[in-house]
Amino acid sequence: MNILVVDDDPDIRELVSFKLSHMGHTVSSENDGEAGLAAALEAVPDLVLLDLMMPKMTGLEVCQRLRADDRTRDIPIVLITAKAQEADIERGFAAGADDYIVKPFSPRELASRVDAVLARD
Amino acid sequence: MTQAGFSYNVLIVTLIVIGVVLVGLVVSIGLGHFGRNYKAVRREARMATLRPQMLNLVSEGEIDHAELDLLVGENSKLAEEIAWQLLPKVRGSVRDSLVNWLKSGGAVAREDAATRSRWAINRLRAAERLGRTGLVDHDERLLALLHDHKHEVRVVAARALGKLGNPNAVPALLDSLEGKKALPATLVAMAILHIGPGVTEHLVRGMSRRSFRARLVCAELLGLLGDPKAVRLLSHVTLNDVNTEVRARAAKSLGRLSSPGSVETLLRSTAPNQPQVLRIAAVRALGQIGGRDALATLHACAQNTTAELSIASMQSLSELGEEGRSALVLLASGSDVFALRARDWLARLDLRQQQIQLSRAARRRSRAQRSRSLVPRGAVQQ
Repeated sequence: MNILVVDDDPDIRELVSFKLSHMGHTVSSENDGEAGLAAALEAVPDLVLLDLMMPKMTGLEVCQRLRADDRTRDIPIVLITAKAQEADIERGFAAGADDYIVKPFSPRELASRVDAVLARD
Repeated sequence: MTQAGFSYNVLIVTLIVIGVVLVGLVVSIGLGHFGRNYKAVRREARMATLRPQMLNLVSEGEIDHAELDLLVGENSKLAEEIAWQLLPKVRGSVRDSLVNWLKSGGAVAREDAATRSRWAINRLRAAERLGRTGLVDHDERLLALLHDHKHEVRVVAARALGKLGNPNAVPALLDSLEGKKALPATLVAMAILHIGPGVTEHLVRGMSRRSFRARLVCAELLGLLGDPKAVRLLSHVTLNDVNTEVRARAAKSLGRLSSPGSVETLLRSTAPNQPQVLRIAAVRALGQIGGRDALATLHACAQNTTAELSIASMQSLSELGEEGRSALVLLASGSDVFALRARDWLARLDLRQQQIQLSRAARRRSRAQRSRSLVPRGAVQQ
């Protein structure tokens, strides 16, 4: 599967990318919302992992834009969020997200969440 | 040799000496700069190689210490830095493995020792890192840093104690609210809140402290932690504390706890002979609890000539559902200033209702959209 990771924290981005690569997925990554949206529209991935707080465009905005576009409206979206932003999770679901992962995260939990979302699809 | 010739020679020698010194200075500055740059470039290069390898290992979810040691080789200092950076970003067994690796390599002990460094930056970094480990056995060093002469170090130590999560640190954190080196109340409150539910007993004891700042923090936190056991104590504080601010904070916390048992206390706190700040806190708290008695009192307070109390009461009425709305409608039927205020709150209620309806509709649409997308691709929808 092709997975797009969008997060402005390079450590998180690389950790997630490594983990997903170990699982056999092809991973690409972007470090802000605007670039993430552009990448998703250019080459539609099978799954998007989105950080909520990012420069240029927030994860929520990216999520809404992806849901509004015919090419990307059905791709699963998983939010990556800090614990303090739990109120945003609800907004994330309203914006069309399928699941969320709380930072700090466990690589194993990430793997099972991604598997579950991909299996649903 | 003439006098003029001698002076000329001295001048020449002096100029040569100055020239040599200047050239030496320039060369040494240049070499120093080059050396530092060279070191930085080499460090960056080693970091660029080591970091992805470590991230790769961490991403597997379980770290084999022997494998990590082999990977790190001579770059143990760099690897430790990477591990410290990763600690706040991962959790579970991989985080525990990183902490154990840092501990076994002596990195945690070095940070513990660095809390006694003469340089504030080292003490600050050590406090921050010890907090990241979550190892309670280092809290004594952090408690000592709460008395550090540098404000920044004290702030980081308080935050780190919050991260360690040891309830026994609460008395020391409350102590840090006092004296010339006092820490900001919000920071201390956040640290205590971070420790978690085991702090209630310490906060209850803290309510009998002489310091009003400590009592203020304790009253606020007892409400935030939501332990119903605190209702009795907070009720007593609301009515009897010598400090009005503390009484008002206790009343606010009673509202958060929303216990019907505290209504009587709050009603008494709205009496005209009570301080204004307490009356306002009490009517706000009553708005969170509700009930017939609360409603009647709020209705009466809404017609108080003190604008702040009247507005707070109407706000509380607007939060009490249909009964509160009816009370506002009754108030709005007049032609005085209270009627104007009540109409304003009714308009706000209508707006809020519309927003809720719009948000529900958006959620329904989103759910419908998602359930359509969950139908397997290629399947025909009926």
